[in-house]
Amino acid sequence: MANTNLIDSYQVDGSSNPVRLKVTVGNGQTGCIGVSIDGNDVIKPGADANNNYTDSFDFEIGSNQDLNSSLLTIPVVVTRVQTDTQTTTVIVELTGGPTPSNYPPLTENATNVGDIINYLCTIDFGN
Amino acid sequence: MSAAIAQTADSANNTLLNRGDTTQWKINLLEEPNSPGASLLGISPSAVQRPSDPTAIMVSLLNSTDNLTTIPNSYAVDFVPQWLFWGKNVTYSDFANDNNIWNNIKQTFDVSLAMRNLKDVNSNVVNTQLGAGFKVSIKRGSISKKTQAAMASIHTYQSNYLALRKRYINDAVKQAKASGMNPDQRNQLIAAADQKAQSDAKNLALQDSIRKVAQGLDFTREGFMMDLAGGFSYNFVSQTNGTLYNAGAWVTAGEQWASGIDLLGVVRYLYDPQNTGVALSTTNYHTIDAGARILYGPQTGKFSFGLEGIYRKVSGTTALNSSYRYALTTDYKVGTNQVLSFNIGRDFNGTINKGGNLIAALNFLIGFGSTRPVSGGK
Repeated sequence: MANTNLIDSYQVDGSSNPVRLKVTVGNGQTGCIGVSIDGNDVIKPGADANNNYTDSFDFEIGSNQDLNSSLLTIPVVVTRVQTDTQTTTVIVELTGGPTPSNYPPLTENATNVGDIINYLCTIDFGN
Repeated sequence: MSAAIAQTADSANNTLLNRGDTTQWKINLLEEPNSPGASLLGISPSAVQRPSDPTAIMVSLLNSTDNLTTIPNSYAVDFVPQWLFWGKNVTYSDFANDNNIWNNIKQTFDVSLAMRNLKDVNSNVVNTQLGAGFKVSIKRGSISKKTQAAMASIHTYQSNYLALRKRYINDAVKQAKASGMNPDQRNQLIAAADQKAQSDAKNLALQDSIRKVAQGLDFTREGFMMDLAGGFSYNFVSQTNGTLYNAGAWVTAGEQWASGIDLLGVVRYLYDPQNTGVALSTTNYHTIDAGARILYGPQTGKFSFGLEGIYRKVSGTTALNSSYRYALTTDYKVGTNQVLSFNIGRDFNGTINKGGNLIAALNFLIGFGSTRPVSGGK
């Protein structure tokens, strides 16, 4: 089992423009994604009973001015279900600020079908 | 033979490694080449091929024979660009869903290349034939209900597992904020909390549950399926002068049932199909084939048994009559990279063919062992 972490920042401005978060669990593997801002769950349509999301989502998480100085945490658990590839991938994208994010895809191999990989993204909003 | 195959695999490996990617794909060296390139060269055991989810890259070596004394004289390489180069963008939902036609096309667009060497026994001249083609699934069937239920269980276990991680992480974030930690201290606290959550006894049990369910997954598809395929091949006489050997396009459609029974039909157009084995034609002629195949054998099972028949209508020449082909095909997967197959039937030219790779399979077993990983794109 392995962990893959992203620790980064995202620039926001003082506008009321919405910031969008898109998370994708790729390579045909299945994943569960959590989203929290300052330790509080972000609940949007599509969330399950634990306020988590399956495989991917793309939604607004707040305005530029509201997100300033807050912390976004995205824990993800990915299970390898594909027999043909060991690769698991998580892609995190933020848009709506002055520039779109350009975080590298997070990736880790899972040796066996059924193995899980834990990912954690920690992103500071600032201007 | 080992060197020849090592070269093939290493070339692919080097090419892909140069891209700086780390994805590993599995190659089954003995998988039946479910590819148009191989079909056009006549090196596919079956004329009516079963639709299936393509793997990112597949290398096939066929017709290794002559009592284990020669290298294989036929090769087929298939790759699926979407999985090989852009697999990071394909979610499980994309993979499982059959309703989005464009999604199906992107994920199943398969490029195939095939080659075989033919030696004229009279002149000792070696001709090389190269084929290239594509295959794409318009409809590929649905994941079985049993597997859908298993995936729902995995999602529930994952969500419960993540809920515990999230609780530890959120508590750490709030604690760090309240105590005014700097970002480095805060991130260390979050990482420690996450590690603690992952090793929590509840989460360890959930990991076991996920693993048990995932290891029993079977992505066999059921229902209506339809593949389109096409391609062309060239014949290089004495390995120099290239001329068009044949070209064609075909549609395969049918139903697959959960019991492992498939009923498939094919309609195929071929231009100048000189690979019928009849004397080479000097005129350009055309054929239209129509046929069906019934197959028994679960896709994840070891044994499959099929019977197929095809009628061929010839036009554009009086030298050839309309004809038919039938074949009985059997395969037994001994293990990864180890397939025993046997085929018997009548070809369009009236000859009775017996084929298979019973001996070759034993040779591959000794020569290559098991799965050969290839690094590729993500």
